[in-house]
Amino acid sequence: MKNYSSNPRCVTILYGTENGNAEDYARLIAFKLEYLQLKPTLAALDDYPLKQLVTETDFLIIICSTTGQGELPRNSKKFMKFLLKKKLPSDLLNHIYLSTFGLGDSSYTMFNYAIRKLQTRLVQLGCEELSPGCEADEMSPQGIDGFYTEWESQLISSLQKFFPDLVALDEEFLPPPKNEVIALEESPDVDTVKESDIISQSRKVSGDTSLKFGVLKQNLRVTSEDHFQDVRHVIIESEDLRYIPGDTVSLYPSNDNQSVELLIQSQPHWKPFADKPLVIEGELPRIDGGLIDKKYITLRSLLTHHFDIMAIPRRSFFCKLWHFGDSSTEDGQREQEKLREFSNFEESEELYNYANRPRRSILETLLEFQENLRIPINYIFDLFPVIKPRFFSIASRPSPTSVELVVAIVEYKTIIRRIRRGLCSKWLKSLHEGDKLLFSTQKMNMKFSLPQVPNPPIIMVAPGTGIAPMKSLIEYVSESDIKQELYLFYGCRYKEKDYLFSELWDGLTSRGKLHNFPCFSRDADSKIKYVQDNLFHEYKLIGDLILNKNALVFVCGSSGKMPKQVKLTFIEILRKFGDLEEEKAQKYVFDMEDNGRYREDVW
Amino acid sequence: MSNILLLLHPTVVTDQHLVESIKQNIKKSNPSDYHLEQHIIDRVTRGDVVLTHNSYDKIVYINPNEDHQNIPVSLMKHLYETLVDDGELSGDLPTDQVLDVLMTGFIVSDSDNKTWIKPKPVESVSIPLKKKTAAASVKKLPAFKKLGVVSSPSNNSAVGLTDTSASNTDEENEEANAMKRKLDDTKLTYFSDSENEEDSDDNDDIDDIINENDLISESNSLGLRANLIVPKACELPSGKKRRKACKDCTCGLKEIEEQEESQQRSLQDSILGKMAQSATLEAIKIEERLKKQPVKFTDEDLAEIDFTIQGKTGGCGSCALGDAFRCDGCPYLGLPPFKPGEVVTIDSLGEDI
Repeated sequence: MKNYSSNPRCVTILYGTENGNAEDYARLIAFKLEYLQLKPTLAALDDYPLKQLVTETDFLIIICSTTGQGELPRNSKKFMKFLLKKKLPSDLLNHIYLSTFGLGDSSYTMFNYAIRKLQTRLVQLGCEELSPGCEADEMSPQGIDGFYTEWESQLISSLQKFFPDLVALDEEFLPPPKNEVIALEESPDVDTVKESDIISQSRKVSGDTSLKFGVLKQNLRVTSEDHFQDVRHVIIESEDLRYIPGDTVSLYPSNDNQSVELLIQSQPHWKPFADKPLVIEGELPRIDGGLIDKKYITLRSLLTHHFDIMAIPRRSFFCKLWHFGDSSTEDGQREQEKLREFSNFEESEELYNYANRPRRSILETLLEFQENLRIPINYIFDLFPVIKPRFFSIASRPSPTSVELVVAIVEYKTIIRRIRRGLCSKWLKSLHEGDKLLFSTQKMNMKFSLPQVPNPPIIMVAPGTGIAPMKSLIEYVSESDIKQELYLFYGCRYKEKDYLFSELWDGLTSRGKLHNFPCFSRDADSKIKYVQDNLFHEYKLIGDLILNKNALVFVCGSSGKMPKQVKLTFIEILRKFGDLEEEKAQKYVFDMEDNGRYREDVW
Repeated sequence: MSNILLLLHPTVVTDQHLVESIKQNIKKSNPSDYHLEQHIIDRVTRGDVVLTHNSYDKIVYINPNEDHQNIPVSLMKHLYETLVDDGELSGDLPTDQVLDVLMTGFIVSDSDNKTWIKPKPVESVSIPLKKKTAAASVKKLPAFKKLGVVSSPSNNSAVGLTDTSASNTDEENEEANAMKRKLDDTKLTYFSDSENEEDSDDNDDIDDIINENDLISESNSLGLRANLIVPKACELPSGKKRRKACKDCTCGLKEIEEQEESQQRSLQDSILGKMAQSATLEAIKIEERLKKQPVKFTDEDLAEIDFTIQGKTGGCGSCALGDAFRCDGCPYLGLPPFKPGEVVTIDSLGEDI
């Protein structure tokens, strides 16, 4: 076995993540490997320069979750697209030893498909096994953690054989920061609060032209005031926009000044430097949408625009944080031990009950421990996760000058007394009409036609804010010359409170442009409550559309029960209408999925 | 004298008689002088036991459990390496891993279909990249390995760049390095120069791209699924049961959690109410006293202005420390930490009571 000890940089850890889980595990393994004196490169699959697979990588570790219908997460599609090229030779990557870890949920039929696709293709391209792969199951009693610990221990013992000369470091030791941060103490303060919005719009990625300036034209609550949920119909005006139904917009939210000030106050040694210009050394982690303009970079502006202090602290966060505890007093020692416990797999219940379940934020956590916690400025890039853009389905027909969104404001209660608010929700709520903001659009390449059938009928199933892409599609089709029959199954709670865009639907229906089937789950007089009940009620129509008219099905809304039950309903409808056996009906729907006739867009 | 390696499944080892009879069988079929070495399969798979390469004439693989017949590819490769040329692997071998077997380099014996043979290397001239001087070296058989991949049913890869049987020796001479650089350069030609391929890719002919769904069935035929890591025990390492409602929980746990949350909030209400009440009382008392005799506060007086009368540090001593230290069911759960003797304010974060 070749000895790689002289090249501790040749390990690469790549992750594909939708909600940050896979990223957390990737950070954990990266941190762990640093204690073996390895210097792994950590990046999202799509952020890694592909050529470095040849020039820099001998050991490849991939951690990836599976989304929707067995697809790869958003930040790994480009990587996969490259791998799928047929012209690649079967020994392209034969210098690489590979180990894969997938995060999935076995209640979905396409359980862990993403990691399976990656692993298979990489093996086809010559990768050798470093240690066996793992397909973790959220539904198992051990949870993802149980799979991870087992996979990690095998991976590490395999790696150690290739790096026999490297000695593991003591856990008490904290590796030096990746991005040295130096405050220019002699320079005058930079006021980043007054010009906060200008600073937020100074983000840039060199060469990336996808960022657009927009003006907020409308930020209107469209649910009634007495409804529990605040849903906004947002209109942004801009120019040179190019999008089609199904595409998305990403927004780049910032933290509010008050939260940032609280955090700075909790770290008194930060105060003298909070508004000094900063110099950041080393290669910065990739930030979606780019870093704010250099001249505005201070501790305060970084905390405001780039570090996600409202995120729930992850295990990888505590892995670093406990090192900053001051254990010189009894209190400090107790607190440090607690922070360390949260970083531990043996106590995963503790962390879950403390952070995940009540949705506690990083800010709240730091405030609770502030008395005995001293976070060196140097480590901020290592410690804090960066704010990720938020994605929304576009709700308007293609237009070069404006784009519409439907945004549910996230607010809820847990045992923590303060109301939980989503970072983006809070930010969006604070925006006024006329405010400028940055955004970008993403192509999703959704197709609403079939190879043999140019304009098949479309059955749209859209509870709640799942209506957004449907509105785009309906407006697009109904105002063009395309002859395509549209069937909308919309579901919400009350006809009078949260039936979004009802006038639009009524108008289109009366002009014969739309077949509208709304249902209301909480209205006393509603007989049919849920979209799936309504579909089943119309089984003759639906069955005929699918079996005889090549209809497409498009489901959009919150993940969880709804998409599963809707799919089961379609299977039942085919059984009843087409007199098919259960297996055949099931296969029919699965085939529809494979052929792009049944699409889910759930979150 | 021949070397025989006996690999036993852990369940076999527990049965003394079975092990004896297996050894007797080996003795019968190997009448001549031989040396027998015995290991447990799992220990070899995990790498706990290190076997010397090219050292066994025969390996006997005993795994009578019908459900677990598959041999992980890594183990298969390892066994291949430990056999001498013309060495044999026999025993309870799987019949549905033919592709893996061939990819590893074994030849399946024609006579009984139950023995895998490591073929003798043949002299071959390396196929150099372009016109590199032929550093003729002894190679293993050009290996079914990659050919196996190429011939697999739905494989879409082009043929390899190199003779993949090139061995990975430690010879770090310059020639090897030059060779590697050249190989890297060749590999790099497959990577596009522009980082932003997105637009050009839209024009890619669909025929040039593998359908990613085909990879799922392919993963089975590559045998990748046979070797996945699964966690050991069905409980957390701490022995505690996992208690977390799924996103679409139907077992009722979610309702229990929600109920707990609302109970917690009413507990908080009662505590906050009591504190407000006692604070008012304290304030009235102090004011009355101040009216009588306007003096400086003594330490005692200050200690008296204690709004957390219910428990300065809480009954267990941990309530004041914050959620991280509070017990299950502590009425203060969800409220910020407080110093003994300090008012618990829920607006210490500035809003949202």
